[in-house]
Amino acid sequence: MIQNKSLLQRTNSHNVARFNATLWVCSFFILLFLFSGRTSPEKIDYIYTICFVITLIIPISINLYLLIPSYLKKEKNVLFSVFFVLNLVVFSELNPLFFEFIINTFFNDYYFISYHNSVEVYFIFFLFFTLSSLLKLAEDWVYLNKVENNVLKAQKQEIEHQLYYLKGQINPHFLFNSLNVLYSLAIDKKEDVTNAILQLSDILRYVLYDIEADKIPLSKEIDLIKSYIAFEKNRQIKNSIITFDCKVDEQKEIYPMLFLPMIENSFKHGLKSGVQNPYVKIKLTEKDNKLRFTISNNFKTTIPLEKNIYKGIGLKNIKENLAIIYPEKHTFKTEIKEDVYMVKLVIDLKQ
Amino acid sequence: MKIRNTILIVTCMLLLSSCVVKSLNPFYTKKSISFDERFIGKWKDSKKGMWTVISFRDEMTKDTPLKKMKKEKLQLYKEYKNSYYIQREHKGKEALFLATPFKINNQTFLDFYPLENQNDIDNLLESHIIYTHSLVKYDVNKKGEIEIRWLDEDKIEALFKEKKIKMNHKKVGILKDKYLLTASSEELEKFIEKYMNSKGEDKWDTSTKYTLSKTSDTE
Repeated sequence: MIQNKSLLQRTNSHNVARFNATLWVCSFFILLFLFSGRTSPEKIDYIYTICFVITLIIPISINLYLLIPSYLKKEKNVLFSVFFVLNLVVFSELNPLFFEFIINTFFNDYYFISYHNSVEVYFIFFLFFTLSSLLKLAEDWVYLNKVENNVLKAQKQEIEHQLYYLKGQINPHFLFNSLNVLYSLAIDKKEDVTNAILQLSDILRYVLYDIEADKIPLSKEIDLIKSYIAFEKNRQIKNSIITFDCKVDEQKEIYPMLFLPMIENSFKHGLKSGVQNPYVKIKLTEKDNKLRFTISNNFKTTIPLEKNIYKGIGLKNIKENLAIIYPEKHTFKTEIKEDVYMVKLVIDLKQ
Repeated sequence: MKIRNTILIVTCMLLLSSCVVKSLNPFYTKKSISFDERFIGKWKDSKKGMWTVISFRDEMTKDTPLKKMKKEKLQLYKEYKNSYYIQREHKGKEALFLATPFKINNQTFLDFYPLENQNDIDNLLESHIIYTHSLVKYDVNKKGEIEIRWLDEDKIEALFKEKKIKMNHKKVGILKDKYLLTASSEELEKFIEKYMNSKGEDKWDTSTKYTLSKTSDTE
């Protein structure tokens, strides 16, 4: 927010010189075209147009730098309309006087006869009041649009940094758990250690390369889950049951490595909690762009809850991740019923 | 004899029209009209022409009272009631004009406009003629004589050629060498005002000028 504020202040610059140069050069050529009529502009037309533009400077400046910022931008529309009309009438009436003064002082030998009448002066003044106001509002709009884009870019950058940070937390967390598995296999001098390293290698390849993508096909996420389950099976926990039911359109895409932390939690705090007949049931379904992921496991209830599953870094990261990548497009629920812990995640995959 | 007379009149008209500023619109607006009784009467000019100036109002109501006037005539009356009906006779030829007096910055001017359907002009020729307004500067000298000077076309031609004037106009004539002003009456008044204030001693010099001496007050 502080960053955005400073961004607003830094870019809040109405370039007076550039704006006025654009305005008056355009005004000059529009009026020259108007005053020249059907003939090509001659010296007298250039002189007349310059003099007329000079008479426009004061009222237009009042409108741009006094009326618009003081009334229109503060939504005092009635006051703005009143002063707008007043400004228009006063200076349209004064225009002939100003104009006569200028031409009689500097161009006395010229006859500026067939240009416009007093009604047309009103029209020209109204036209230029309106056009200059629109130009100013357009400039403001461009500026606000630019600011908005900058704010969005900053926000996006902020989110990317946050995601990067979160991903950075997941990787070592996962790696730490995996090394524990390998360590236990190595201690037992089991031959499966080579398979386990290969499986871990598959998982890490996914983590290293696919995690950088914004979205990946569900098929890859399913392969990861399968590799992870295979890897974890190396622990050979007695009487354990691990199931993974999957019924999805595998081409659909999701944010990478979304489910693994939940599966990790279930294995770590359920399967390895020392509970009798441990199980982990994973179910992944998709219907009408609603992706439903459910994981449930039993756990040893003698372990105090606060030391158990659900204070883990992994679960917290999932919630933060989901809030950023699927804002208002997901539901995340956890349930504990006796010795069963269940996580239900529903993601709306519609764009 | 008739053909010769007609040619002479047309030639005279062409000569006259060739050197004065011509305009499609009157040089005055209703606000600037200023009727001067002193111009009414019979006058003799310096070229032995005889001028009879009567009030257009009187001319119109002479035979028909206002109440019995027909709509078209009444409209004419309303439009020109403050104008003069002028008859000029020169070498046996007669020309009729409608002259409207008006003032700009206390200077009196006359807007001359030839009356249509005059005698001795061939109908076919008449149907090709567009009558135009001309501007006349009107002054009364110390002797009580009236000096009338038409604004010369050379003056306005010079302004156009120097490109120092922007006023609606068209170039007319077989060689497109004559200027016909198409500006509105308001613009023409603006021009006169500016022209009056311009420098130049010879700005009212013209080949079309008359000094009128009064011969009698009425017809």
